[in-house]
Amino acid sequence: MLCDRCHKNQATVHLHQVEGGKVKKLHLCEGCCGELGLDLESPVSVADVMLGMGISTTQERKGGRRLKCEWCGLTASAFKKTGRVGCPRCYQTFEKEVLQLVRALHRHDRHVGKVPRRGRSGPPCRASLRDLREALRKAVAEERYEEAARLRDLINEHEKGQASTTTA
Amino acid sequence: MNTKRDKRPRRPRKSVVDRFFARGHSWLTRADSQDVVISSRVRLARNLATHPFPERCTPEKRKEIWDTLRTVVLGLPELEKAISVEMTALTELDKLFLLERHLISRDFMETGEGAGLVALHDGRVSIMVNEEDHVRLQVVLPGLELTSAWEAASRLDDGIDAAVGYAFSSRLGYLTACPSNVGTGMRTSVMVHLPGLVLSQEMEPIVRGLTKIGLTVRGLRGEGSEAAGNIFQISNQVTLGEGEGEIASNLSQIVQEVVEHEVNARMRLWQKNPVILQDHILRAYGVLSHARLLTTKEALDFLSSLRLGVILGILDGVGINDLRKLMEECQPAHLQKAVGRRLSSRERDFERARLVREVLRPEEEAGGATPREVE
Repeated sequence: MLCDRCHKNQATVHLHQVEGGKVKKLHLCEGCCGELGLDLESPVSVADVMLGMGISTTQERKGGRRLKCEWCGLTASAFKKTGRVGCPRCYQTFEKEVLQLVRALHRHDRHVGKVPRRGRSGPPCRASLRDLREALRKAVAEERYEEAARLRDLINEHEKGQASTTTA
Repeated sequence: MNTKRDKRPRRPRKSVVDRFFARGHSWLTRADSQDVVISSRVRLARNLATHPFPERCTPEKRKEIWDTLRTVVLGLPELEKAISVEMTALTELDKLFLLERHLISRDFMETGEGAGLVALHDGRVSIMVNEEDHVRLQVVLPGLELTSAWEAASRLDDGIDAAVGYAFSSRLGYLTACPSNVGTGMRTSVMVHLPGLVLSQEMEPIVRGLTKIGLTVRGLRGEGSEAAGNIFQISNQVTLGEGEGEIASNLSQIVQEVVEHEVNARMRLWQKNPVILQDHILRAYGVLSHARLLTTKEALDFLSSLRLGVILGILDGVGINDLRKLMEECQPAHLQKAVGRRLSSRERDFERARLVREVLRPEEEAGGATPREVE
């Protein structure tokens, strides 16, 4: 059996991944495993497999770009190896790879749950702004003007915050 | 830690063994008192927006984060009376004890400076600081109470967020060190006792079914542990694309179905093969009440059978709570804490067997029937 990646060498590593009740099989040669950064001594994780394949396509397309997070210094290969990111900003730096992994793990790529009530720090977020606007609309409709005024101030504050982070 | 074993209520002296078949199927009609669900747990993974995740922080930074979060968390009204401790200040035995209490993870035992725990004495709320994420907030409630646990966790979560500001993205939700937790950062899990399904060999299709719908089934001690004492943890895997309330209520519904399967399995065992069931339970009693050496796994497995026996009315004279307590106390670190020193594996097995006999047959142990020491 030939390697699924290089289609040249004999595949000696056979990975099985269960996804949505279906078993996906991946056959690789040792050389490709090395290039993908799969450590054969340690148990192989889904992240290894998904990212390994993902990054190989990125490399083919972009001629092997070297990504590194500016904030925490995590490299693409370190991320690929552990499947873990180093800081909140890595989610932007490795957006493509992270989203690929996230979709494979969760079969979704959009958060629909709790949105933090913003404290004194952290970037304002669109979802909470949307919630605030909705709450404002409701408050006005129900003639709760005091609440509406409070919400209006909060929205202004958030919008100001957003403008300053986008210009920064 | 309970060191006053002598204050343990004395059990009625009649032999436990005589009382099987005493009762009918009363347990079948009391679906809520089946004692299938032991506890519900909600865990939230959170990170500060201002720092890299713990693994990419220097020990000094981690220390700084621990100091900040410790102050914030202890300032929450619910956690005023919580204990807080840094991992480096603990012995291996203490850490193992906390692990057995489900207050810390195995990975957390290995962490260095700046890793700390804030927890309530009763273990209902615990917060690991600088584990894989800056904050791992956990709420555990007895019985099937996922929604309440989520609500309690969310309130504490708001309190911490207001003070420190979490890393959050409108698209991916709460940002975590491992993308497998991103989104809600929430893992809900329910600890269940499933001796009926194990005995009737129905566990495998159930595990397969649960896995198919995105749930994970693990043993007593979570990730990678084997199922001792027929105790399993069922938990959600997906943290993105579903709301927290939805995740909690979905898991609750599924657990209720598993409970139903378990109850049915027990009923079938009872109706089809009462002798086999009796034999299974009374053998366990036999071993537990006479053995001089018991490994943890052995003790947990046999105690699980006794638990089933008590629930089915096959065994009498020992309470569910005594058994629950024993299952906890017979674990290695608990035993060593009770004795007050480190014990070798053989010594632990001996102490464990003694502890179990003491609870199951207090008269024999207190009276003349003490074993001659053979070593």
